[in-house]
Amino acid sequence: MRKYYIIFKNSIQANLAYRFNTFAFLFAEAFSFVIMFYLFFSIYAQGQKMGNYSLTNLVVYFALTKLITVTLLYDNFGFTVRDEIMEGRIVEYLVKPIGYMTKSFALKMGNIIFRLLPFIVFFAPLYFFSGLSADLAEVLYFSAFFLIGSLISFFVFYIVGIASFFLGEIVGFNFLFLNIIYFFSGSAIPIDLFSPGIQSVINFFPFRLIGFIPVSIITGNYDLSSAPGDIISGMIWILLFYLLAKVLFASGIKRLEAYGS
Amino acid sequence: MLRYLKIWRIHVRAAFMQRMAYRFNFFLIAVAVIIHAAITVIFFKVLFGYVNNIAGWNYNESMLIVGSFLLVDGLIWTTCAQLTGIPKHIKLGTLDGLIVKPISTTQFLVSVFRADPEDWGRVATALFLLTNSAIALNYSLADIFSRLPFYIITIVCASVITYSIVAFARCLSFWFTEAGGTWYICENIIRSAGYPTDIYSHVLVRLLFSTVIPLAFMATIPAKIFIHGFDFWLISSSIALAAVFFYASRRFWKFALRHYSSASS
Repeated sequence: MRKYYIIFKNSIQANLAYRFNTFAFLFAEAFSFVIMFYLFFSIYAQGQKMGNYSLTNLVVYFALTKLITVTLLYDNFGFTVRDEIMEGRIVEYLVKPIGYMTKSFALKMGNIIFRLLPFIVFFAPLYFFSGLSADLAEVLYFSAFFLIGSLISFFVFYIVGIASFFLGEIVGFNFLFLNIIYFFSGSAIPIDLFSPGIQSVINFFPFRLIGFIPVSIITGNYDLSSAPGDIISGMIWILLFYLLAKVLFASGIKRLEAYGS
Repeated sequence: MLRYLKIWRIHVRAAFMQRMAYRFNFFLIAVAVIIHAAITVIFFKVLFGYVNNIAGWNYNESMLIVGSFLLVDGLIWTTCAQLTGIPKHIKLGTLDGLIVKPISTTQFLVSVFRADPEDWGRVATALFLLTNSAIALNYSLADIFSRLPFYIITIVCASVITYSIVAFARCLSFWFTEAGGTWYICENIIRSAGYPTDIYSHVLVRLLFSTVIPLAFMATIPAKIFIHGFDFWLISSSIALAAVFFYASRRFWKFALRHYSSASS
C-alpha cells in the first residue's frame, strides 16, 4: 500500500510544481461564476424565477457544481494514461510489482486532493454567507456521493485513456465524455429544471451522482430517503466500470507493441 | 499578404491531414464540438422555459448573441486553434525553430501553427442559429442584407478582440512553462461572451466588460447590430477597440518573447 501512497504524494507534488495552472483554474472558474451570478441576479431582479430555486440556492448550486466538476473532471487524466500507452512507458509498470489501475487511481486521487483544497477555500465562505445549513447526515451523504463521483470519474477517464490501445488518439473520445458528463451531471443546468422526459433519460446514467445529487443534498433539494438507493446504484455502476476497465486493459495489453530497451 | 495567406493555407491543410490520420478520432471530436455548442443552446432553451426575457432580450434575440459567440469562437478555433501552439512550442523548446524562419512576424507563425478543422461544425451551428433566429424574428431579406455588412464588420472586430485576449493569456507561458491552465482562462472568458452584457447591473462591472475585458464587443454588440442595423457609435468603437487590443497584444508578444529561454539544445 505504501508504494501507492508514494505515487499519491508524488501526484500532489507534481501538481504543486505547476501551481500556476491551479491559479488559472481558480481565476477562470471564479470569473465564470461571477458571470453566472449576474445572469441569475438579473433574472430574479425582474421578479422571474427558475423552478423552485431561490436565487441563493441557484448561486450555491452553480458554485458547488463548479467545485466538483473542476476537481473531478478537468485534470486531463485520460491524457496521462494515453501518453503512457502511446509513448510505451506503460511497459515499465508491466514489469514492476505495481498494479497499473491502482497506480493510476493513486495519481487521480492526488489530482483531486490538490484541486479540492484551494477551491474549498474559495467557495466555502460563499456557502456560509448564503445562510444554508447542512446537518451531519447531509454532510455524510454529500461525502459519500463525492467519493462515488470520484470513482466514477476515475473509471470513465481511465477507460477513455485505455481506449488509446485501440483508437490511437483519444482527444475526441475524451472531449465527448467531458461534454456528456458535464451535461448529464447537472453542471450545465440543474437536472430538475428539465422536462420529466429528459430527466428520466438523464437519471438512467450515473453521472448525476457526480454533481447534481451531492449538490442538491447541500442545498436541501434532495430527499435523503432516496440516498441509499442512489448509493447502491452508484456502486453497481462503479463495479460495471471496473469490470469494463479490467477487460479493456487485458485486451489492450495483448495488442501492445512497445519498442526500446 | 498573399504570402501569409499561403502559409495559413498550408498549415490548415497540414492540420487536416494530421486529423485524418485518426479518422474515428476526427469523427468523435466533430460530434463533441457540436454537442459542446448544443449544450449552450439547451441552457438558454431551459432558461427560457421559465423566464420571458433576460435583461430585455427575448429567446430569439438571445440566440443571436449565442450564434454570434459561437461564430467568433468557431472562427478562432478554425483559424488559429486558440493559439494552443504558443504554450506547446515554449514547453518543447521548438519555438526556436519558428523564430529563425524567414518570416518577419513570429506571432503569425505561432498563431497559425494549429487550426482545428472539426470546429467548422461550430461555425455551421452558429450560422444555423443566426438564420433560424432571423426567420423567427420575421426579418425580411432586405433587412438582413442591409445589416449584414455591418454585422460582418463587428464579427471581424470581435474575432480580433478575442484573438488578442487569447494571445495575452497564452503569452503567460513565457513565464510559467507549464501553463496549460491558460486554456481555461481563455475558454471561460470567451464562453462568458455568450450572455447578454445588459445583465451587468453595476456601472463599474459594465464598464469593465466594455473596456478591459470587452465581452460586450465579442457577441452582444454584433447581435445588436443584427437587430437594429447600422449604429455609428457601436461600429466605430468596435473597430477602435479591436485596433487597440491587437496593437497591445503585438506589443505584449514582443515583450514576452524577450523573456523566452529556450528549452531545446
